[in-house]
Amino acid sequence: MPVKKTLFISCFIGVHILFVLLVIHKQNKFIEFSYEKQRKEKMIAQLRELKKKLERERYILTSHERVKNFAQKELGMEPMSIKQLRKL
Amino acid sequence: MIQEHKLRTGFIFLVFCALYAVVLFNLYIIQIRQRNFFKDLGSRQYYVNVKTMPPRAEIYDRNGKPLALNQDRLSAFVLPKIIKNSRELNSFLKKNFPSAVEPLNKSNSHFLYVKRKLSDEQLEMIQSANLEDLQLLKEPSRFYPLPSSAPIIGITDIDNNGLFGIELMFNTKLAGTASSYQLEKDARSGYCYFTKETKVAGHEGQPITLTLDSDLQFLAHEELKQTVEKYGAREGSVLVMNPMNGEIIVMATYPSFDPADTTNLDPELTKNRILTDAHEPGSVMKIFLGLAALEEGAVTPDELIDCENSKVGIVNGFKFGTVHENGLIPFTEVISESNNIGVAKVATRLGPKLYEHYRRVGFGTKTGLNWPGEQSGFVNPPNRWSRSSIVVLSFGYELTINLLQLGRAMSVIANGGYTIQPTLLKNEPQCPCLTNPLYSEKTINTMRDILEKTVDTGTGKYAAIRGYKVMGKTGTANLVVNGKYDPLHSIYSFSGIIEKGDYKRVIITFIKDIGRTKVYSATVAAPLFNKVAEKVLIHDHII
Repeated sequence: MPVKKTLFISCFIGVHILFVLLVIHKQNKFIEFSYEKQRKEKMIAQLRELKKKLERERYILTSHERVKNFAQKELGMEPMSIKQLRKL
Repeated sequence: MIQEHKLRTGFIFLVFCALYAVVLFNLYIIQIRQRNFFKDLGSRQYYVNVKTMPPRAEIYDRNGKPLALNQDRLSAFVLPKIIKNSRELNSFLKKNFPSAVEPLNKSNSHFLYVKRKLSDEQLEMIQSANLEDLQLLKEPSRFYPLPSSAPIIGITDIDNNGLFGIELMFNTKLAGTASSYQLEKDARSGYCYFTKETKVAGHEGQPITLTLDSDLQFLAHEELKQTVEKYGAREGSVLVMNPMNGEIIVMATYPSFDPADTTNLDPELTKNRILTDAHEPGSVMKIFLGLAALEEGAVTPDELIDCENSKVGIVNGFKFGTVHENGLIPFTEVISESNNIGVAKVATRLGPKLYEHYRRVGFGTKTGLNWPGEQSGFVNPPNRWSRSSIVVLSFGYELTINLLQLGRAMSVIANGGYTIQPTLLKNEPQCPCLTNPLYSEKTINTMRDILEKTVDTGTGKYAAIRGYKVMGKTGTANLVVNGKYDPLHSIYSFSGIIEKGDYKRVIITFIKDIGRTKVYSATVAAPLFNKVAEKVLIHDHII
């Protein structure tokens, strides 16, 4: 009887400890995933920012003014007249 | 002994009771009396309400090329309550940001901007100074890849709200609405949160696609700039429209401003002068006088009009001048030679009907673009006419128009007599205006022939492009200086249509005040039309 009682108490406490551990584990996982999500969100935000910056640089580099200056000064190109064009 | 023991234990019991009572009282205070206070305090530690604005939506041209993009700019700030090295900070600010010194010394707040939206040089300066108390913060801003479209696109202010142009007109649509979130976080670090609950779901800003073509806008602006600089003109404008659906493809003004450098912005340069300025247009109005006279049967194209072989005419007792001396010439030639005496004589046959016809093609009424500051212009009504009014109205005085009104009126001739609604928004439902033509097909065709002749042999010959049907009319008008028309100060315009097959474009060129006499639109605005039209044709592969 005392063995049974001790076993019961041990099981009872064990199950409760297990539940507590499970709850703690669940909470830990929740926090872990939450932090992971925030890390990813931060990363997305940084990548978006980088994309924006690169896009801006792209538009600066391909601006009409720059292309015109490059074509005329570096490549020696000249504005075209419609008389110079022929439809083939 | 036992009694003494009992007394001591009783005393200790009472002390503990008293201590428990203090604890209980404190608990009562905290849990019951000041429940709401501590609950709020707890909530403030664990819950944070965050309000975020969505990124401002982009503006694109008709081909999907961006005209306004987002970029982050850095702003410098200090936290006045927790400055660690105030001497170093003050000396740096005095030297580089003197305007921030006084607010900092007087400030009682927790946060103070030193400079918002720093330039690259200012940023470099701050970074090299490496001051602990001077911190940087990212703020949303705009980047405009096409400076030549600046007066149309507009700019945003320091808080990224539209100031003028499309940015102002569609501010609400572009900005979107804010979202609110409640974040549950730990009470200490505050860097991360556990949960994020959306309290108010805002919506993203909606991008806007314009009918402008950024390549053509640049090319037209370049040609305009060259012409303005060549003649030393005060300003100039170019408008290119599709007369079939009212789409505005180019709307260029020069001088304008650089949207990347708005520190010393001249408000005058921010205007979209195609809409915000109205002028007396001069001889381009002869096109619409011709339309009216032909439609009313007041004249036939071949009718000979006596232009009196003189540069000075008197009609209705009013004396006025004309550029070329012409004798007895057909009405078509009166228009193509731009003879003021001839048109004035025809106008007297029309009388007040001329006013009705000018109004019919849209002069004196806004274009419907809803542009802030658009001038509706003015056509002098018959009840206010003097004896000279009918004469001068025939060659473009006593009325003011903006250039888009002129483009809209020219579209009537280009599309076969139908009114159109000018638009800057791509994919906007086009008005079903092609129901009742304003003018008969015969009148429109006659006027088109006259305008073609004007370009082939008349005053508009510098606008001609071989292999294309070019129709148009020059217009030179003196400006009023000190209450008098001054021949030294004039405006020069050319209103034209270029066609090949089904392809049609209305092009208006305008140059203001070159400070010279004896110069006419034929040599200023018509060549500009020719250059712009060539660029448009090459760009659109109409070869």
